[in-house]
Amino acid sequence: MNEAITPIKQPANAVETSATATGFRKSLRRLYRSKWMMIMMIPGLLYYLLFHYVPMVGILIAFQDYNLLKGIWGSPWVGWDNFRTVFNSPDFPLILRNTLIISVYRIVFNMLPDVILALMLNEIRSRWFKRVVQTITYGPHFLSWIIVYGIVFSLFAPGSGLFTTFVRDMGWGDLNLLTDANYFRPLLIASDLWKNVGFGAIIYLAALASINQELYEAAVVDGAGRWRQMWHITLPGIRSVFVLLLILRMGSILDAGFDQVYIFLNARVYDVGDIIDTWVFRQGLEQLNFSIAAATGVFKSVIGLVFILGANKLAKKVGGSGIW
Amino acid sequence: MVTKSDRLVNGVLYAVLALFALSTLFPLYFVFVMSVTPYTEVLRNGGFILWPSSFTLQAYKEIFGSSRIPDALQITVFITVVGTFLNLLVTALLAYPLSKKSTPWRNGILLAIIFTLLFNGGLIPTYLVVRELGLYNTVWAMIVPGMVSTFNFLIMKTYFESLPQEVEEAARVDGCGDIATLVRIVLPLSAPILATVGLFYGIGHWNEYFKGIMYVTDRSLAPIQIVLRNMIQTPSISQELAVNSTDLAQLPPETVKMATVAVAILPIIIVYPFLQKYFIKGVMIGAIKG
Amino acid sequence: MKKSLLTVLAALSVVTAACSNNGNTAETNEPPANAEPAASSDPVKEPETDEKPKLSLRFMTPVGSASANATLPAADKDFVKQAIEEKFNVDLKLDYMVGGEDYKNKMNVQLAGGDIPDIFIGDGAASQKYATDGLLADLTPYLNEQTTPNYFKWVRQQELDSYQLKGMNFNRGILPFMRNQYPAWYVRQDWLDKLNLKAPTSYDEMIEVMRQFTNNDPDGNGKKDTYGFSTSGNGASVPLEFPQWLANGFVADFQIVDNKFVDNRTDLGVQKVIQDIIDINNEGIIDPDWFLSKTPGHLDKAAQGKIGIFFSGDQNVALEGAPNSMQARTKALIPEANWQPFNPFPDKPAIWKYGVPETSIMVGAAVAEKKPENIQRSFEILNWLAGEEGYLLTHYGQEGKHYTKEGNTITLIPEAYDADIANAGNWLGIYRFFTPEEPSVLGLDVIDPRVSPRDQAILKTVASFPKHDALPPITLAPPEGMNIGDLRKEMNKLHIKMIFEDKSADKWPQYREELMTKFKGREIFQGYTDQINSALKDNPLDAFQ
Repeated sequence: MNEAITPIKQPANAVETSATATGFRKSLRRLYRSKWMMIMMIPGLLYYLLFHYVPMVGILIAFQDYNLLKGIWGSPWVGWDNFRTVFNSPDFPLILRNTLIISVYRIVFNMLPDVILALMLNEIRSRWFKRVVQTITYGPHFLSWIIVYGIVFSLFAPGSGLFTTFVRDMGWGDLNLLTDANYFRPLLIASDLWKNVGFGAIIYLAALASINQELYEAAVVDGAGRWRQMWHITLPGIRSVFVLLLILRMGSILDAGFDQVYIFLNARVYDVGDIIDTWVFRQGLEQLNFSIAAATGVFKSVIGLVFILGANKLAKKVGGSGIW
Repeated sequence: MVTKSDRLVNGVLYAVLALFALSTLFPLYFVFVMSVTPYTEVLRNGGFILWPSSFTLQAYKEIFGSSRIPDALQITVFITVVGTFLNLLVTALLAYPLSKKSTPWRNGILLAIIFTLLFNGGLIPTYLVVRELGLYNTVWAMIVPGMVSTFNFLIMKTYFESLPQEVEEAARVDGCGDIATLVRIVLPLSAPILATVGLFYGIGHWNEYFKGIMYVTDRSLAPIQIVLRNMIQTPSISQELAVNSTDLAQLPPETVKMATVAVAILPIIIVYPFLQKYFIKGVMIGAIKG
Repeated sequence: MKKSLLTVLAALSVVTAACSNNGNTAETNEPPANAEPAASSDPVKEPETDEKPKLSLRFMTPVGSASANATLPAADKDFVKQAIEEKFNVDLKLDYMVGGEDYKNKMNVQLAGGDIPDIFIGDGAASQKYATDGLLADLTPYLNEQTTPNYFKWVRQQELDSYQLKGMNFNRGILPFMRNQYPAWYVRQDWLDKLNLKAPTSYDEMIEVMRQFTNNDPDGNGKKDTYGFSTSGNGASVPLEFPQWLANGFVADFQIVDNKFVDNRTDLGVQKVIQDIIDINNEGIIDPDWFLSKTPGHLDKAAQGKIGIFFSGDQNVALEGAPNSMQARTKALIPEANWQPFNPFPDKPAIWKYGVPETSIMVGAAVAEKKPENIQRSFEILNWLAGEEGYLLTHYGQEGKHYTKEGNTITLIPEAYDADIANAGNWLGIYRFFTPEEPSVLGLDVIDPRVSPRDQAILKTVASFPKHDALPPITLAPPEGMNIGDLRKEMNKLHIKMIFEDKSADKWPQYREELMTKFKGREIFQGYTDQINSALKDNPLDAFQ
């Protein structure tokens, strides 16, 4: 481990500008200097190569009439036919719209509450109270959607639901939350928030924990109140994590949460709740068609790629740093 | 220092948090109560029981009476502990170099990694890789194919980037190489993020289901979530026409289901408070610097 | 660094080699290259000697959700495994999972990866894909009257013939299926008695009973908290359990009327069915939760004594002797509860259809090519399972221990069975995949001492309700490029829309037209008609309307 030649790392661009003349040798030297860094990465890179890049040949299935026997290298090519089938499905405009709307709802109404809960917990001085609240709110994340739906159903079922019965007994009329197209999306979002906000706050709590406490002390000396501390120290401290999560979420803009939607969906709210993934699932029930599923996947990925690139660019422009 | 409005804000904070916590406690409580109530009692109340009129551990006896669930728990604990350790190791070794702008090909590698978030080849080719590597039908098939989560990797990388550079530079001046800097300086400073990412990985392993189904056939290697899912799944819509579903009458009673749910989620909830102390150690960086 | 790069490249080439192997062999249509490492046996050698060589066999089979978590016991306690391995000199491995999406996925990856089980079992959609992809072997040499006589006690040759896909070899065997069906409506006899009513014998009487059950406090608790009828729509559809379907002449899902194929749920007559359902829904005499209720949610309500009538295809549902039956569950809460089957349509020629083949037995073409002796031996085992010896062992356990046999009469010993099997994880259910619980097929008569005279009467009544053969035994598959999933979803949506939003079935003709055109219903069902005609041959059906 002879590191005597590298006293202090220089910023990368400084090296590059001086390297234009003998670029190749310089970069070789740079590689040599970083050899331990490179070696460290080997297990991780190997993993990505083997479990992500090698299987990526599977994307070709989207452009084939995939035949299980002939495999990826032998199945006939059909160009854009599978995509055409997907786009020409009578439901496609509807499911695309629903997917986008539900996804955007989730970004807005599920990401912000995570931050808010973390900020609230951060303001709590009582250690035991903070710990108890943190642990309890984290609990529902581990209940499956089937169980959560069971609870929602026993509260809001049109006939026997506890809450419905209460409303009816009070003479406020009949309540049909589960089958009302106006309430379906809010119900999805609210139950998701309720189930996952405690879990979602963890990452911000970790970010808050890494803020230098001296900053707060200095602020108090300067006479900054609670709100100014939050604005000038706390929020900047979790900014990078928030931006990171936001950009990543953009990449899965066409994932609207199959597990939950599949359980909550019913025929009376198809118009507002049917999404791309439930559609693909239904296709698979009736007939095995790998290519249709693959084509839908590629479509979702391409849209995700556009969004993630755009979001990263925007983040760099506005805030100075993106993910890469 | 504490003003009147401060006190008001505090009161509201405590009240809101307490109420919300109560609402999230409710289903966990509900699962637990149902698991310790006699089955006829559950039937009579149609599900919701606020206070059990009598108490029984019958459901738990049934669960632990056969070796099925204890065996499955053992598998799950193994993949969680070993898996999380390996995850953290490989992820940190990848994230640290990529958090440094000076690392050659950094941007290219990062882009290539992020690309995998979006595009994947699907089940069949991944299965082929698992099989060709000899992992099929071993406990490693549930660990290795998820070695690095890109999401966790990015969190760790972002955190490493936010660490004060001066500390590391001082270490290098003292003659520490890349590996020594990572092990002796960076990782000790990263307790909150290691706890967080470790928790995320651990939860992922604890909830492992899909790999257990696809890459493992040996029943004795099935993790707890497979057992649980087999128990609580409801017939899918495709079975709407299956009238001769003789099975329905033989499904395990609700109390046993709920006891299984409790056994499957309790350990992972109990772990959390022990990790929380790492989230309150924000002072550490300052202490070292000073 | 160099070394690990080499490892990567090596691993890469292994994977691509595996893929290209599959591809090449398929294109040239020659015997596939060795996808399985252990396949070095000489294919020319004739294995039929007196002393059969020991073989390793693997079967992949779905199990019912009751056996979802069953595990096979240790080899010394697994008397079925012992019997099979001794008799056939094999090492048998069963891959079993609950049937469903996961099972299908797992089978797909194994087949795609060339890990083909010796015998695998899958549903219609899956077997159709495998057959058209050319994965499946021709079963003619293995599954015929000479090689597997016992099998043909369960399935007829003519059924096998018409089950095949057009233009394909004989490559989908039929998994022996429950031919008899036991559908019935069940009513709370104690409620009827209390309100001085009789079991309904017509649709109008049935509705009147529902009305009284809702309005006249049959459980006498002074609250109006009971309903006449419930079912589980799973939030998706109008279940065929509603008596209104049968009242308007629709038996189960498909039928042939006036020499025409009829898809019951998209027929013009659905208008009347939906209107009748709207009427009772509006009147409030059925459980308002029926639509969202997920199976078996309505049965839970019935067990709580909130529902007076339900429909079930499970013949054990009202037996007091069956441990988890509705009768047993209801009785645990309400001692006087008494569920009894009834048929509100005694004049109809059928209230349901007989069982139809839905599940296929398949063999991989590659395996049959390479190791025909494996397939041959596998079918010997299946034949044994379908015969008396195998059937008895896999359904009732060991003779003398779990049951006694006198002539053709089998008397069960429930205590021994419960101790060794039911309470040991109910593992025998795993081996039962090959034959349904239908002892009469083999001429056996089973006596369960737990079945009381009351239960016996119920079983007899339920069995007596008339059924019919709806269609010739074929698997209907939508024509190439058509998607019936979209059609069914839209159809269900429209049914539900009429009931809850329109509150009138007036628009059905217009809705139906949209299903027939925009969602290609007419083409799909004409396709079905053509498929049926190719099975009927002599007197074809008229065109679909």
